[in-house]
Amino acid sequence: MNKPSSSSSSPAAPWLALAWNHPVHAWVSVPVRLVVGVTFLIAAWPKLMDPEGFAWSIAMYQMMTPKYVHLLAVILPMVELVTAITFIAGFRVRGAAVVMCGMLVMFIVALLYAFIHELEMTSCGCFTPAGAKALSEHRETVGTGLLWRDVWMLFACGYVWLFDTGRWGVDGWLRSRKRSTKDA
Amino acid sequence: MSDNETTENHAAPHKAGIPWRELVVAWRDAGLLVAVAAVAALAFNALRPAGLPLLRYAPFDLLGPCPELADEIPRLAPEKLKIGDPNVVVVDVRLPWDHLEGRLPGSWFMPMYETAPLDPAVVARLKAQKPGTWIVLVGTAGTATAERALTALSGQGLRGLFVLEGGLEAWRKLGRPVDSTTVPVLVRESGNPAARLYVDARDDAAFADGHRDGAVHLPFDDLLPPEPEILDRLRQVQDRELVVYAGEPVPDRPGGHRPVHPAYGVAAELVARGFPRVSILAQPYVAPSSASDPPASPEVTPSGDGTPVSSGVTHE
Repeated sequence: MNKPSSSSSSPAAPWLALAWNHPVHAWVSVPVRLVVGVTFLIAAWPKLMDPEGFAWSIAMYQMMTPKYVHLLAVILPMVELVTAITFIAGFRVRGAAVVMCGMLVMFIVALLYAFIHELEMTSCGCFTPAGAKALSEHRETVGTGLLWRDVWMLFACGYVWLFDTGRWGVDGWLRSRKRSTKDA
Repeated sequence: MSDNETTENHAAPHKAGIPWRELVVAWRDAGLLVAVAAVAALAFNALRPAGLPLLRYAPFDLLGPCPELADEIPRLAPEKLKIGDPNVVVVDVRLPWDHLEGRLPGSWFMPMYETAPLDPAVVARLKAQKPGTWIVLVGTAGTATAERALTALSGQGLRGLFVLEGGLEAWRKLGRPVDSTTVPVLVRESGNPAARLYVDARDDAAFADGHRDGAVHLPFDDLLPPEPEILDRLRQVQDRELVVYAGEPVPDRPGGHRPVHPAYGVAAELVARGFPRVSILAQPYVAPSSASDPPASPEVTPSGDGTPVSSGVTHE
């Protein structure tokens, strides 16, 4: 692989350049963005509405000091929401993909931690905040199905980061608008 | 973003290379997105009425509840309890007949039965109290009723729970005020029978053998609360007086007797749960097979179907 340079692109093997810049990526990335973006939207909303319940979900992983759990419970759902909207809309789509990759890596690490330590919890807290009252309900250890779901989404977001130029989205519209202004 | 480069990529993919610059710029955009979202989140949290404090100094009780009693029960000495304090809710967890015979003024009624969970409606009301409210549970001295209630409530996420040390007896000894309620005993029936609804407190077999026309069956049970469906049914006819009867004569002061008289037990349940017009029929129900037996009171005469005919109403 070539070294990063100050120019916007660097020479690559013809087959690699062709594969990397193939127009099919613009088409493939649209359904990928929709599926992952909507998943994040659905996940963000209940947590945004019940930050205290989500704080309990975070606390159940026992990975961070309780002092900062509220801060994370307040900020993380909004990051999910904003990123999901920009991801679906195709605005700064590669940046949104990087944020999603970061969050998914964090989720995977947390789930792995819970899996390895056999932590018992009412739910992973991915889509519904656990809440304090849920502690009295049935608990079970985290299954590997959740891990595979996040790994799949990590690959999807990585694909968007690497290959989506944002042609079908706000980025593409802004570019074409800028180009037409320049041409005029 | 490098717009020209992207355009070139679309036009001639084989001529373009790997867009390193765009891939790196994506990290800058990612940082910007996170920063914008974080500011929005903090503003949203600050503006919402139930916003969270950003730093938490209390630990999370992750171990959850245990079925046995909590190790350390927070207790409140009766001298320190101030009735009427808006930051304190007093909850009486004793059974209804104890609640009627004596309770702290303004206390809520949430009986702790041996074999039933706590009333979810009262628990929901407790949860709706503003944070920091003290919930003081009053039980009977020498029993663990209040302690069991505290453990159960703690398991449902409630905080600020205390047990009143020494129960109602300790409160009485201090000479503090105690409320009580007497259930009227109906010695004779009179007036419009349609204005009354009879509640049969006998067991299932006795009720199946015979009962007053239109009577609602609410068998007495000191281990379980009444069926919610029956209570709902009775609430729909609150314009009528609820007259509770059983199969045995009611003593003069039914409240002071142990074991609890079935009719008094059911009537106490209803009164404690806020039913406004409840009384006990002094006369036991006479089954049709023994209707030929003379009634105990000369004022009450059985009709042909064994239903006593009213000739006057007296509340004891």
